[in-house]
Amino acid sequence: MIDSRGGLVNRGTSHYPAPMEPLTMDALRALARAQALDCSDEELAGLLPLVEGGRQLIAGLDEALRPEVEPTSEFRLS
Amino acid sequence: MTELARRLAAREVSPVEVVQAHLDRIAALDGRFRSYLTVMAEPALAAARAAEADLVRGRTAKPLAGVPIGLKDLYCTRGVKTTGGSRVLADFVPDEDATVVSRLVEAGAIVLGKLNMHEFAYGPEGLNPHYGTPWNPWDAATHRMCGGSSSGSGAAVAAGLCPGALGSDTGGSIRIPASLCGLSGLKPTYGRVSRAGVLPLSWSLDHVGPMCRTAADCALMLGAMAGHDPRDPTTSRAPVPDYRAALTGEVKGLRVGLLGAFFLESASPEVRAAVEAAARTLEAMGASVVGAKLDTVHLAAGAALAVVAPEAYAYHEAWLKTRRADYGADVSLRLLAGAFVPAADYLKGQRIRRLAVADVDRALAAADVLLAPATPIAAPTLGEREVEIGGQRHPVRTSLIRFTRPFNLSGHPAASVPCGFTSAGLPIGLQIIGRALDEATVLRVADAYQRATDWHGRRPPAAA
Repeated sequence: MIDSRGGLVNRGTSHYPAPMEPLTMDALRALARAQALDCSDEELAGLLPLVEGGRQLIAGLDEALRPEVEPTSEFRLS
Repeated sequence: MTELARRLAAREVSPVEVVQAHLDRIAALDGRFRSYLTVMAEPALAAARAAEADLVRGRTAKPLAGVPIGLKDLYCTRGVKTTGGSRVLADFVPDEDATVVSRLVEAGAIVLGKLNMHEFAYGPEGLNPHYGTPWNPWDAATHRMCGGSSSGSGAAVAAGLCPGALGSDTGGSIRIPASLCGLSGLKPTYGRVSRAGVLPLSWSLDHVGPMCRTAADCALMLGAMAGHDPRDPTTSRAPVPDYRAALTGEVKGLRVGLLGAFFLESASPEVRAAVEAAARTLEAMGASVVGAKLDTVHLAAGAALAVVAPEAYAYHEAWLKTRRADYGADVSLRLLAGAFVPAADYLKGQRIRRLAVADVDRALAAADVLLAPATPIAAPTLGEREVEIGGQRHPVRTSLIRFTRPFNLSGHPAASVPCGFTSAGLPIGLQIIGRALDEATVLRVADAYQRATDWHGRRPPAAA
């Protein structure tokens, strides 16, 4: 909405999601440790572009996903 | 293979002679090609003697009686090392055969040995730092990639070290080496062939299939392998047709959809020209060729990554935590990267799959088969990391997998057959994609094309 002085005022939820922050080495190291993965600095340096590249690629899938699209990995008894 | 099977059944040649000739050829040539990791000489000769005795006694010939085959070293073989191309499993000896191995042996096939591959099947280049990377037989002077991950299968069949082999295909690992090595390879529909006893890369994307010289040979092997398996709950209960009977040589009236955007338009000029010529050949044979496109194919890379990476990591998690030094650095990093894919992203990949299946089904409602290049390039040299296509540089890895991966995601059957050679004498592969469980039509088109052309009949000079 516009206030009495003509300024933009944000009320409620933004229509735009927060941008994805790039992963840092420290963040990757913390994520690895949380999963009991003991990675050297050399491994983390090699992993960072792979993981970050993967995140960007997968983020691009959002454009095509409507709520009614279910995953193909379904549990079925019959 | 088909002709060999006929000659064996007619007792024109003995299984012992055939197996011994292949063992001699492996001994003479494979030091260079590095296609075999384990040669099963004594068991193969014993099986050949038993097959010969059966034929002498006039017992009904099995469809593959006395035919030698190679197995990608991903297929469990009872009592014989199954390494997955790795150091981690260097001493793993299974106590049971994979279902498809049992079925092929019951059909009379004789296993010559276990074939080299990209470590744990995780690569389209076919590299192996532990056992040596197979040498593409189509270039005697320069070490070129065979493509992967079924690189040993590609090299062995191309060099005449076995008439047919099993590969596996998670993102293109049958079709890429088939394309780069001038072979006919088939990735069947997901669930058409059992994965029981096959070391997994990605449970929901792995496919099992044959690599041979001709589509007819692939039909012969598929007929022996396909069908429901209680050991693999993802296998289909749909009846298995007679694939060989489907090879009528006829394509009159068949509708062929030529995939332009994303596919032909991203291929090197020589690959594009060869695939377009193949389409014209089918047209001259009575098929009607129209343009086709897939609206969601640009999402295949992200969706496949979202599925493969965490599934592969899940399988390897324990070894990565205790034996990481035994992995090659390249595969180790890519497996570890799967640990960082959140569950919500994995499910995004599986949701996109539903759209991908519908997209390919839609394209195949307007056509009986789709055509595309199998790979945008011919075989790169070892160590090449980038290739130039249309004036732009692209990574070799993602280029090799670009045209094949979408059909692992959707699960539709897809074959690669030779459709020409580059000016440097390297094979070019044509990909033929069909409706789910319609391997018969895919093989019929491939076989009809091979009756009208002779690309599949050429032999690499390095294996002369």
